[in-house]
Amino acid sequence: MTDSQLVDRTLAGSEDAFAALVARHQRSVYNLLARMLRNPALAEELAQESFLKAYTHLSSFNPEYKFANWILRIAHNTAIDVLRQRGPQVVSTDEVESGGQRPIEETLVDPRSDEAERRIERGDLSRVLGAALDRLRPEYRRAVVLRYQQDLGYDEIAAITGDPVGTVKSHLHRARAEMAAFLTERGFVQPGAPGARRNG
Amino acid sequence: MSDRHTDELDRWLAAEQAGALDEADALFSAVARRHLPPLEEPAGLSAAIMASLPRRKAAGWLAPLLNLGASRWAHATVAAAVAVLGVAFATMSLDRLVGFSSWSVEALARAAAGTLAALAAVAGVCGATLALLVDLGRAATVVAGSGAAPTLIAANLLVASLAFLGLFRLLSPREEFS
Repeated sequence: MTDSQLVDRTLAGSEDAFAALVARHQRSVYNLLARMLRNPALAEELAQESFLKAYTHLSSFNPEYKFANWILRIAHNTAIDVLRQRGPQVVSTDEVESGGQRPIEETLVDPRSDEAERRIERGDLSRVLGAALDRLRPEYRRAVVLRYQQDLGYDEIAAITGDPVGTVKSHLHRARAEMAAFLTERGFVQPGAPGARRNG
Repeated sequence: MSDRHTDELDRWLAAEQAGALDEADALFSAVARRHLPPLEEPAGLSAAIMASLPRRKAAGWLAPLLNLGASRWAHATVAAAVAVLGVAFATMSLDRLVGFSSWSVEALARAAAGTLAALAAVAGVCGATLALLVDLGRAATVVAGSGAAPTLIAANLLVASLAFLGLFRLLSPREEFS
């Protein structure tokens, strides 16, 4: 069943239909909020609030718009409201996921060691990429999440964030450049670079 | 990690360094798909969301009415009604206003007593409304005959417009819901 059909059924009074929408989109909403806020507890709270807003305003949902993008836009604006009120949070999602016991720098690779490949094999590349993402400016971070984790186009990201398409592209370019620099500084050096040590 | 995965990373980093934006975009997309998965939602989030919803299931037949109440047209109608009342009250005398309010409370009490009483009250309200409209017409005639008429009319129109715009903005859904 499509999102649009589930929206229609919800409007007709079916909570089961809305539960299906929640099940389908809760991860993308939570992920965006957790990455934007860097605070899992707050992200959970705002995910709940975002879906509640969607439910109560579902009759004003335009079926020509994707529900997935609509709910992300609601979540994005909810997060922006909270960030304006409280200021950016500083808790890293990666640190929280690991119980806060393991500083991220300890997981990074010494560029002069042979540890890089073994750590990559253990999945540390995911952790380092997550750390690189966490260190980006909030507007870069949300652009990366929407583009590379939600697979959205530039115009869709622009519609969600309210930024012009050119700004979205610029944010993504700068975000990737900063993440590449972060990885390069930590030993993930591309072949051919001076002092390169290939990881594969 | 396979060579293929490492190659993706190396090629992305190389593309970034070379300034090949489209290629870097595509290559990083592949890297992120494999190594930067979305964060998993906490267990129970879905249940918490559903538990937080206002109860509406029992009133399934009411859903169309609730949806109508959430529409822009309903909001605009309410705002227009409030603005009209604002104009009406601005042109009524205080005595008449108090008298009308008291009478309305009485009518509501009678309506609660039974169906017949309610019908009578509704009829009474209609009569009183008609009388009110007649009074308003008379008041407008008197005001129009005085020298201050243009000023009063302009002031009332201004107040009514501001009330309408303010209420419409207040009651309209936020931009992300449209």
